[in-house]
Amino acid sequence: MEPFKFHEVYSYEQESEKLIKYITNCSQKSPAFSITLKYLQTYSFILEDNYVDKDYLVDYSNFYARCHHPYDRFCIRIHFFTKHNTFSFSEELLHHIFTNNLTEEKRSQINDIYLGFIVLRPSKGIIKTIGCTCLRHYDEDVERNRIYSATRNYYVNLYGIPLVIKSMAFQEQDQTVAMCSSIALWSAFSVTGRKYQHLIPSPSDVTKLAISESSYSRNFPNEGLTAEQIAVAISKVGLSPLLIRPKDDRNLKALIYAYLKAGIPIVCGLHLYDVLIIEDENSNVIREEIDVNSVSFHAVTINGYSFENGLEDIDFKDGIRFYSNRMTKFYVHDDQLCPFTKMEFSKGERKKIGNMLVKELTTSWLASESVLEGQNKKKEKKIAIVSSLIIPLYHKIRISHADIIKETQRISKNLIEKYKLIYGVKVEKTFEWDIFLSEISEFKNEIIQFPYFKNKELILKDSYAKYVWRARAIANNELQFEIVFDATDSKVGGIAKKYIFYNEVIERLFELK
Amino acid sequence: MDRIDSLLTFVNDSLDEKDRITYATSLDALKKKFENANSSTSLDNYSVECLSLFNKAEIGLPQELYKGSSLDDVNAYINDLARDFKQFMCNALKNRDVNLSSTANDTWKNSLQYLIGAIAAQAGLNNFLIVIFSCSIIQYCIANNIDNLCRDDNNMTLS
Repeated sequence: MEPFKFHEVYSYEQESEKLIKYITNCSQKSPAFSITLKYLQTYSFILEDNYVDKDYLVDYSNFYARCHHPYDRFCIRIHFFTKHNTFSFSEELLHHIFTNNLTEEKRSQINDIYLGFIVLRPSKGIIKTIGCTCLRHYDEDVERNRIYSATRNYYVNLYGIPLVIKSMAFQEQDQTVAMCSSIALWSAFSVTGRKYQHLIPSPSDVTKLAISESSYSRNFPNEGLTAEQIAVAISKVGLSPLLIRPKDDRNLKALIYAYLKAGIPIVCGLHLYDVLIIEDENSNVIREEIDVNSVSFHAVTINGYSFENGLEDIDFKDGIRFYSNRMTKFYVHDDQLCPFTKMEFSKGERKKIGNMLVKELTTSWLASESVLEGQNKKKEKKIAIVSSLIIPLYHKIRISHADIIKETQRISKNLIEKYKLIYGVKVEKTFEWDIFLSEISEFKNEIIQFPYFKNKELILKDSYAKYVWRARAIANNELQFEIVFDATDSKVGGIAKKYIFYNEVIERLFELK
Repeated sequence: MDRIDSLLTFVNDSLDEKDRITYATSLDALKKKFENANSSTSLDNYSVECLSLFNKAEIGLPQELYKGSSLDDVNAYINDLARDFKQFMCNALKNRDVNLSSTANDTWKNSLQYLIGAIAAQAGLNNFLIVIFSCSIIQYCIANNIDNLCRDDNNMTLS
């Protein structure tokens, strides 16, 4: 017996508790979904039955159809709406839709209040698994530089009403045909498939692709993928996998920023640890320790970042300050939590894991056992350490981020030496470098919006590679110049590059021999 | 007791019995580094070199974990640590009247204590790496007559 009737509009305020329980089955996902739907100002929702979900049908034919247990073929889809002024998705509106001509204006109004959908896949008994879910993300914020760049438009049809939602597809692992890593890849493919024109495999197909080169692994039930197996799946859809193990937080922020800015989703391998909280007799926290033995492995898909309250990078001996170091959090699709969940960088404090002093990422994960571990010790939450980034790239993006850093460092060092030679003053504070990958159309689109500057016309008329690396030099909070590297080039003989100057003093400095 | 001996005593006091034996050679090398603090190397290199002297497994530097891995990874880790310490130091010195190179009436001891406390509070660690870093900075600043490392008064003039 389903707790809700189909094709009836419910008030979210009145039914939220029952609905969250129905969707998440009281797991650690409950608070995450509850917060997300509340933040999106959900006003009403409606359930659709007998929904045919393509990804589930493929998984069904790959596995569930040949189980003895009679799994259902159809899913349930829940649509969510907010309210704009007095306009809301109500029973009256539903009645109007079924009995009257729906005007363009009404369609547009419905689209404006649409927040997205959650598909519930059949499972054993009344417990359901969260299937393909596309929910609107939190508002983007230019001031705080909160961006969800690895997203795309999803086209939905409800009772013939065309609706559009900008999101990244999310779903939960079913622990049989797909574990977290397959789901993380599936989410990434749902964006790259549209961006680079490749087929978007279902979660079970992702698993099959990933282990197709590992003859020792069985397909299903699957127990998770290694970083290398994830890379194999990326190759099999026709993209080039880039597997990176970030050296530190600064490097991690630089990589996330550089690739996400181009709208490329990043699959992220994580080590999760329980945090052991040690208290005194009065329940005051004395210290927190990481329980090394509690390590578990997880994969998520990074789709956004925020620079809110981020601090400027400092000068150090490598002579390059990264703009990306201002990043304070990034957003991921975590199949064990919810879409666009945040992971926050520590402010610099380190904790000991084995012999290492590491900087953690805070998560919304609950500890595996939230019970007292003897007197004055308890576990409540988990922290994460990023172990790997696997980036699905278009095959023509050949020059890596590390190559660009090296080249930018060289150019920056030469420029500073020249400055000292000419002006006789040592530069104590170097440029802040904003380094990221870009499609040339986006680059020119940005240039065209700039007010007049020397060479603007020449730049717009000039021919560039389809993908470019942009290294923008910022000083005193102003863009001074940028180097546009050909991302499709070979490293041999130096990477092809062009300079764009926004400051004539710098331009003259470059011209001086 | 002269300044270098005092600084080495600070470092020594932050070690336990076992570590004093483990790092006996490192402490000797640190003494030499302190004596040569006014050589041409930059502050960043100097602090990294001082921290690197203590690259043993037990204190959080990564020799064990990175066994079989490249030296680049080890260096990247130490650089990251030193960069963080520098960031904490600059945060601590911001809007504070702390002269790192003043030796009048042993004010350098107060500066050192201030630095250690401020960095430890931000880093969430009470690790002797903080003591090594802070001692190295003080010695470098006094040897090179630098009163504050984090001032932005030599910004690039662009117009």
